[in-house]
Amino acid sequence: MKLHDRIAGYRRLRDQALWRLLAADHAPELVGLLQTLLHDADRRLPASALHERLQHHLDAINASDLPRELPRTAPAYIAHWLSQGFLERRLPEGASEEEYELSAAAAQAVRFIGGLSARRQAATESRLSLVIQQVAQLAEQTDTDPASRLQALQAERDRIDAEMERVRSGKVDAINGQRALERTREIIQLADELVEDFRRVRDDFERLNREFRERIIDDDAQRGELLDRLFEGVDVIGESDAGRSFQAFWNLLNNVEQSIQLDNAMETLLSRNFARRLQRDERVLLRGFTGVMLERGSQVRDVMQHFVRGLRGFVQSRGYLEQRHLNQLLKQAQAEALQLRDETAAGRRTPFILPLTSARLRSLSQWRLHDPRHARVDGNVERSGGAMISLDSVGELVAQSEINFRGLKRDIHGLLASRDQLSIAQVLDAHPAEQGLGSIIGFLSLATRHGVVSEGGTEDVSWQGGDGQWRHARIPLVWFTKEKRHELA
Amino acid sequence: MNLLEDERIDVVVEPAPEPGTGLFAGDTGVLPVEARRALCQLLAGPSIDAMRQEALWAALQRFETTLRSLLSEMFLELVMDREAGIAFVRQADTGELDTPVLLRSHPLTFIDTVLLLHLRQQLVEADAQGVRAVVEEAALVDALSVYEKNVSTDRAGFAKRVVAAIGKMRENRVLERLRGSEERYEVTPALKLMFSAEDVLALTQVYRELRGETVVEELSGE
Repeated sequence: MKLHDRIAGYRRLRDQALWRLLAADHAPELVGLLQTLLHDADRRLPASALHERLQHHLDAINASDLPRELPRTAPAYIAHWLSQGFLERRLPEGASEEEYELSAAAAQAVRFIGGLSARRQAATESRLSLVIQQVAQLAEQTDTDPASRLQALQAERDRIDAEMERVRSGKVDAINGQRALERTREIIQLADELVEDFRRVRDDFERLNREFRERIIDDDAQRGELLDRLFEGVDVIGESDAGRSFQAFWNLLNNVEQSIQLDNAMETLLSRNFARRLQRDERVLLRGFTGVMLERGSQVRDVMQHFVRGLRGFVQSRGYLEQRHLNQLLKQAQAEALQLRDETAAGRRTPFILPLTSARLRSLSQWRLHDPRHARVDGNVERSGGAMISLDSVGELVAQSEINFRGLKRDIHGLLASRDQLSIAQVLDAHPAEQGLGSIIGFLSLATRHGVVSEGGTEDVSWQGGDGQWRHARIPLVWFTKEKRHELA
Repeated sequence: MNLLEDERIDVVVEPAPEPGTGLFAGDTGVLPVEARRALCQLLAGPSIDAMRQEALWAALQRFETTLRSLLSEMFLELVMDREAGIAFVRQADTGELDTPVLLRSHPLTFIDTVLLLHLRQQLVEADAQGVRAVVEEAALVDALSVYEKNVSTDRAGFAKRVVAAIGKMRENRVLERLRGSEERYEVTPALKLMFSAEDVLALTQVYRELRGETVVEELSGE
C-alpha cells in the first residue's frame, strides 16, 4: 500500500468513534468510566441507573485528588458520548425507559486499552504454536491430492505411535507450569474476544433489518427481488453472511456432546496445579465459559429471531403497502402545510379536531364546598434553620472551590482517636470552620467517601464567615466512624 | 311524582341484577374487579397497553364481549389491535342518531397539526425499522422550524409555540415521557389508529381549504 493511501485511510479511521475515544482529551477518565459502567459487570443499563451511577463516579472523581476535573453533569456527558458514538441507546419492547450500552467501537477501545495494561508477551510460544497448528491444519484440509494427504495422515499416525510408545515406557512429558499458564491465558484472551464479537454480530443484524425494511418500503417500482424472496419464505437475515456464521457458532455451542466435552476439559484444566496461579477472575471466566457464551449468544439469537419474525410479519401483513401509501399521504400533507406557513400564524386554529380516547367524567358529587379558612395565609414567620446543602450538589461545589482537604482529614483523624463516631456538627464544635463554607463542603465530600450517610437524617451547622457573620446550613447527617479512621490518615 | 289520573305510563320492570360479587357496600355490579378496572381504564383513557398493563389486558381479553356491550350502552366502540397489543375506545358511528359524546376532543392549531403529522411520520419510520418511536423536544423544535414564516423575526416565540404544542400532545398522552431522560418521549403506537390515513387526507383537505380562504381574504381585502 502506498504511504499516502495508508495515511488517508488512517485519517478516516481517526474520525471514527474508536480512535476518537482514544484520542479524546479525557481519554483515561473516559475509558475508565465507560469500562466501569458498561463493560465490567453490566453490559446494559437503564437510563436512570446510568445517570445516577455516572453522577456518583463524577462526584467521586472530582472530590478525589485526581488531577483531572470533569466539570459537566452526567446527562451532559451522556448526551455528548451518544453524539460521539461511544454509547448506544435503545427503547426495548415493553420498557418504559431507554437502555444504554457501549457501542461496538467503544467496547473495542476499552478492550484495546485493557490489553495494553495487562502484562503479556506479544509473541509467546503458545501463540506461535497456535498459528503453526492452524496453518498446518489448513494446508492439510485444502490438499486435494490423495497421495500427499495419505502421506500426511501416515506421518501423523507415526507421531502418535511414537508418543504412545513413550508413554507406555513411563515417560510422560507434560508441558511445564509456566507454559501451561501462558497457553491458558491465550485461551482466555480468545474467549474474551469471542464474547465481544457477539456485540458486532448483533449490530450487523440490526443494520440488515433496517436495510431490508427500508428497501421494502422505498422499492416503489415493482416487487423487487428482496420481496420475492421474502414471499417465498426465505429467511433473509438468517441467510446473510452474519446470520450463517452466527448460526454455525450457535449450533456448535448447543451441541450437547461438544459442550460436555468442553466443560469437562475446563474442569480438568482448573484442577491442575498451575491453575492455582491464575487470577480469580480468570478462573471464574473459565469455569463459567459455556454459561457466558450461551447467555450472550442467546441474546443475539433472540434479537435475530425478533427481526426475522418482525420482517416476515411486515411482509405478510402487507404492512409495507400501507406504509408506502401513508408515507405519500404524509408527505403531501406536509407539503400543503409548508405552503401555508407564510399566511397562517402558528397559533391559528384549524377546523381539524383530534378525537381523543379519554372521557372526562363530571359529576355533582365531585363538588366540594369551599372552606375559606384553607385560603387564609398563615402570617407567622418562622426563623429559617439555614439553607439545605444536598450531597448531590457537593461534587459540583467541590469542583468550584479550593479546599484544604488535608487539614480537614487531620481534624477528623485526631478527634476519632478518642471517639467512636462523629457527625460534622461535632467536628465543628471542636474545630471551627477555618475555610468557611469550604470546610463544610469539604467535610461533606469526605463523608461521601469515608463516612456513613444516615438515611434521611439532617443536622444544622453554623460557622463564622470571613466578615464575622454567623452562617447556618442544614446538611445531611453523616457519621465518621472509628473503623475508617485509618482512611483519613 | 304527581300523575294525572288518566295519564298512564308503561313501566317495564327492569330485571333485578344478578347477585353481584359485592366488592363494596351497595355494589350491584357483576364483573370481577380486574374487568371493571379495565373498563375504567378504557373510559379514563388513553388506552390499555398489553405490555405495560398485563393484568388489564388479560381481563380485557376475557371479558371482551361484556365490555364491548357495556361500552355500546354509552355509544362507544372498543378498538383492539391484538398484534400491537393496544386497546382504546372511540365514539361509535351512530349515523343519523343524535347521541351524546362522552369522549373529549381537541381542536388543533396550525402548529399542532404539523406536529401531529411529524409524529405520525416518526411512527412510520420507527415501524419501518422495527423499533419504537422516540422523539426529543429539541429535535422536534428543529424539525418544525421549516413551518416558521420565512420572514419571521421571532424565533424564540416560534420555539415556544412548538413546546406548547408538545405539552398538549403530552397532556393528551400522544407523547409519553420516558423515565430517566430529559425531554425524551415515546410516540404512542395508538396514534396509528387515532390518526389514520383517512385522517391525514382530511387534514390535507383542511390545509387546501385554508389556503383558499386566505387567498379569498386577500382578494376581498384589496
